[in-house]
Amino acid sequence: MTTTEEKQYKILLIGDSDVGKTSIVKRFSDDEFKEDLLCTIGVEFKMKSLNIDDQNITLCIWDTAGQEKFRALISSYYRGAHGIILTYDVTKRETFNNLQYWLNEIESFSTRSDVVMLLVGNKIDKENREVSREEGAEFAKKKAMLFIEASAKTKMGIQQAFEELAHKILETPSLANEADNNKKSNRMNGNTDDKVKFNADQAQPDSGGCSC
Amino acid sequence: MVRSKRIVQHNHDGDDNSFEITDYTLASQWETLISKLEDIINQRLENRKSSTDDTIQFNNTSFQLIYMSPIGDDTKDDLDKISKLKYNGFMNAKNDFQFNVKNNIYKFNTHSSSSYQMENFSNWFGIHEYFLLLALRDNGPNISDLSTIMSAFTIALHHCNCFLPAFVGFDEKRYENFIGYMYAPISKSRLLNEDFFFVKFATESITPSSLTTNQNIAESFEKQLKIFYSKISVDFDDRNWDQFLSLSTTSAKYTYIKNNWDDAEWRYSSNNNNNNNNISNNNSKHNNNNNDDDDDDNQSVSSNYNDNQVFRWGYPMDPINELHLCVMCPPMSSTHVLENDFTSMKTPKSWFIKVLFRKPHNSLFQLCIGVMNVFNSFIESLKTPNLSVNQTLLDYNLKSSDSNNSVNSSSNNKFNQQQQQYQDQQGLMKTMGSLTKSLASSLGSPLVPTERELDLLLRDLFYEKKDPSDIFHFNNIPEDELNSHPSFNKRSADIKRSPIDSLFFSFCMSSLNIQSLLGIQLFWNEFIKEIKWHWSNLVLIPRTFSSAHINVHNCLIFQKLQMINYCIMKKTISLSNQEEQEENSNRDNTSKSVNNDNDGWGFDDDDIVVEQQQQQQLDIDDNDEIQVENPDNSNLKRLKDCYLLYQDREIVVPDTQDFGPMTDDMVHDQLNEISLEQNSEKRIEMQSLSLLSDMQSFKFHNPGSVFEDFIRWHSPADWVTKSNDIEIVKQKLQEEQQKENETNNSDNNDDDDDDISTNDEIQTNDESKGRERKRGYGRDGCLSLRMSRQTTVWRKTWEKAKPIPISKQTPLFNYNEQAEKALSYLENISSDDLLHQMLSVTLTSIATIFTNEKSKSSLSNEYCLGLDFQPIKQLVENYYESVCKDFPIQIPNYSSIKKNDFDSIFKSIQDLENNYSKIISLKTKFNKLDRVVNNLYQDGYCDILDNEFEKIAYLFFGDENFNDEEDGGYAGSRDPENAIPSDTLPNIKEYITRSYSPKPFKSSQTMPHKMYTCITPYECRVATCISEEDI
Repeated sequence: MTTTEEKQYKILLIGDSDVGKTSIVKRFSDDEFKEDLLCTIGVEFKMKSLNIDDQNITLCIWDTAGQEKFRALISSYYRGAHGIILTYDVTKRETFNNLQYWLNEIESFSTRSDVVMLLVGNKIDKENREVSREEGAEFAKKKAMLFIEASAKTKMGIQQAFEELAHKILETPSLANEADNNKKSNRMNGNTDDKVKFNADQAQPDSGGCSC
Repeated sequence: MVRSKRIVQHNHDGDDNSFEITDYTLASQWETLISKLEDIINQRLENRKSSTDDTIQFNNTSFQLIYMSPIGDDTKDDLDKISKLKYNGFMNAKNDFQFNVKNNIYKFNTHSSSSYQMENFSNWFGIHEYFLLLALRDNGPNISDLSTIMSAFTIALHHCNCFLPAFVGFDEKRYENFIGYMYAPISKSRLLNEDFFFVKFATESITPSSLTTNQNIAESFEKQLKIFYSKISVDFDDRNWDQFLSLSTTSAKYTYIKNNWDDAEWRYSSNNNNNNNNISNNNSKHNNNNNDDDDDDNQSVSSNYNDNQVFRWGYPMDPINELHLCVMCPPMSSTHVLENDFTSMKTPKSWFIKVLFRKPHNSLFQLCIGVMNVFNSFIESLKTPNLSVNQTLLDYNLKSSDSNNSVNSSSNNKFNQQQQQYQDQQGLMKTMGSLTKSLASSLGSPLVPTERELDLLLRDLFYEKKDPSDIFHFNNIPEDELNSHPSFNKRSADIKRSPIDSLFFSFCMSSLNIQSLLGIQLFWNEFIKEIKWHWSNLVLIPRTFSSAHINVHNCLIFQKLQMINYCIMKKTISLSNQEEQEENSNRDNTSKSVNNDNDGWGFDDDDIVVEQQQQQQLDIDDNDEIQVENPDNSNLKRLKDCYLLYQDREIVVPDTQDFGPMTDDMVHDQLNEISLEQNSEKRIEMQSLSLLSDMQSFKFHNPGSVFEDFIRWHSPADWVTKSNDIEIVKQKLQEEQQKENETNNSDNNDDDDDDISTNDEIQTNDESKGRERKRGYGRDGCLSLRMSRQTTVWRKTWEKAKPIPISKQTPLFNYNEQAEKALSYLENISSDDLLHQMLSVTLTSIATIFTNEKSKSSLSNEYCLGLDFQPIKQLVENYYESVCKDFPIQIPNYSSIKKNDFDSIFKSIQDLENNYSKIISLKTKFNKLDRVVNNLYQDGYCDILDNEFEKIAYLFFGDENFNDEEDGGYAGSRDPENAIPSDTLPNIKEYITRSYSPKPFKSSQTMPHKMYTCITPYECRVATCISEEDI
């Protein structure tokens, strides 16, 4: 990994099942695409460093499962996210219609009032498009989100999506200055010494948390 | 250039010559004085903040130079407002009596003697900003020094272009006798309407005893007029005196003063109208519950209401010191003034009302003091970060380590008893009161609360004061509303809170009384004992949620309490289930009954339950041939028109396990754990437990089901139904198979399928077991490409899953473990963490309480102090802004905290308290006269319209002579002064005499002069303002 001064931001990917969240992350982090990636269970996790305006930052990308059964579980993971990528499938109108549901989830579970939101319309390589670009852009504008159309398969728009999101986070002072330092040092040094905020005095730190 | 100045003309004058400049090379004492004055004036005018710091030496005497300004530490706006202030138009009688400073921003902690001065100057003459030079020794300067000083002031003010008056106190009564000077340029052309200058000269000249009769006042007044005349006349002879009188006019003002309010009463918001609405609303709700309500009940309801409306914070006394009812008579020839009562004077008279608020004083800001207490404790706690409350108390020897370890067997009983007492002693509880009731009484309370005080606080917290059926009872208010965000300000959402009226909220509010960190730590310790009692006795913690839904905006302590409550609930349910089962099994098989001799509901029993379940689990795992119980699906939902692939039944949606609430720290730890686990396969396995549980339930409720069936319910998007798509999937699968057959090589790039699927495996995974796949009813379709793989975690988990109902599965949520964890967190919390959370809750709660309006909120009335009143709303916003700006969201380092970091928060709380109590007091007194209330609040005075007069007169004079006249039609047309009882004399009479004459020479232009006389029962003060044309 990189220098200790590097800032770390938590990014969450949400959206209906099978809209391509995992593919997007895969394309972004490993520059790969597979048709038959595993259907995510719970959450998955990827780290990726980016250089934005000569600043090295690391994105901790949390990729979530879209199935309804997982939603209660995933709702906990909105906490502390700096950016949220809301994804839909341009070839499935239903996934677009469900966006409001996800926005409500963000409203009730996100802890940061100024969390940056990015709307991604995925799978634009496919021919049977059901949601037009204009529609997506308008919706994003109405809800004050960034917007981009992308294809994890053809690589189009993926890098830009993450860069734009990171840009916006760095432009928001309240977010940029609250980079997630705890976790970084945990990862870097493999210890949990500076869990300052939580249960610093707890004799036995939670070993499993809630298992699911 | 025309300049004007006032030269001291005094009976003793003539000493001016004693001062003479003889040496022109050295700066004389006089010149030094001038330059010193100039320096100070320039300095003060830069920031225009009151100051008493400057001392001046002159003629071997020390003087203190006071600069008094109404401008607080505030913004440029205020400064501009003051700078633009115009002095009263000379000819406008009414203006002479009005205060011009709109924003009465008093400095919070003014020096006592100087505030005395300021009060007097503003009361006597309406001046708010001035310089005042006071001798530090017993006597003020003598006359010759005085004139030297005045001349120095004159020059200094001119040089600085300063239009403020400067006063010098002189003689023995230097705190009462002043002579002053003010510089203002006069334009020759339009004398009357331009800025002019005046000097006010005040002296105590008439003794109170001589003021009782009109006669004496008239005499004194005439004497003063003569002095006035002598000062402004050029030729002093009797003929001119007559001329002077005929040229002069005198206007009069009479003031009635009302004070001595009943301190206890004002705090009950007498906004009766609103209340009645509320009460009737409430009654109608009550009536729904209880149709027996009759009028008497309503009465009692409304009196209860009043109890609830006690404003617990803010001023302990009425913020309104005095109300002045003033009548202003138009100018008339001065000689007639004193011979007539004002009622006989000619109209139009103008009436207005003026309010004098009490000076803000430190001890009056109850809420702020409470908050400061906690802040102090917070900062104290930062000195030793991460030191637990427990440890501190042990260090202080205030807690025996034994009680720590033993599982409170003794304290259980104690608190159990207490709980009993709560039920029994309702009456006693009410009369005993507690610290919460009166913060004022706690001001003198010791730093560490006594055991008894703690006991009272605890009772107050845990005892249910409200009837459980009360619509304002915590449990009856929807969680969403309790969690709702208090403000318009979005940023503030980042500060953690606790629902209003929740247990932890009450804890924080009670802690406002405790003045030391140690006290709070002791209180917390007792609080936790009580929480432990609730857990071990399985009694729900009062006023705390018990649902699985954790609100991320609530603080961790509240989340933990909610977790404990959830555990209590789960445990109670599971124990009762277990009992039921035992009864059944006892009936079936008595020998197999579990030892259950001790019938207490302790921990141990419960562990047995878990073990039992695990045992059962093992049993099931051992048997490959599972004896499938017939699932009772009668109560379960079905997937509509979705039939099992190989059975003629609809897919049943199974009951699945809850994995319980997740508190912030649990999420944090879990995410940490996931991100630390490098192997993604393992990461997935860690999370597949709930998937396994779902699959087990699904298999149990849908015998004969296959993986595809599960996916159709669990992840409908992975069940491809469009024929096009099906073709694509099939094609791709075929291609892949061919490829694999050809190369028989592994696909190294992909983490997710390290194991290569081979044809053999596909064969073994066939679940159809020879059954024929049926058609129709949602069965047409295939798995999506990603689900079609045979070796995914999904498939593996499915193979692993046995048909088990949730009651026999390994619980996903271990309530014992979670409750113990939560308790351990609460017990071992570090002081800084505790205090930080307490402060977050307190600060956000204050905002909620002051934002919520009674009519619009479902919270209990005592927590709805919000007013639909713009200035107050603005103050709440200001408050919130400063909280968001200055309160650290994370626990800061001690070293990074500076002494004044939180001052703006305190200041805004004070503003809020102060102004809130002002507006409440005004509303109490003026009820529905909103216009009057608004004007009084904003400007300090308000004119009185005809239709308002009656109510205001009633407020001042009571109803003695009102009822009689009411029959005679008292509409607005009635002459207002009839409402004033004839036997009530005005408390203050004031006269302004104006005259015009040329000064200082006959050839000078005619200048305005005036004399201001103020007569109260205790003193008489005269000020003369004399204009002079410069030579």
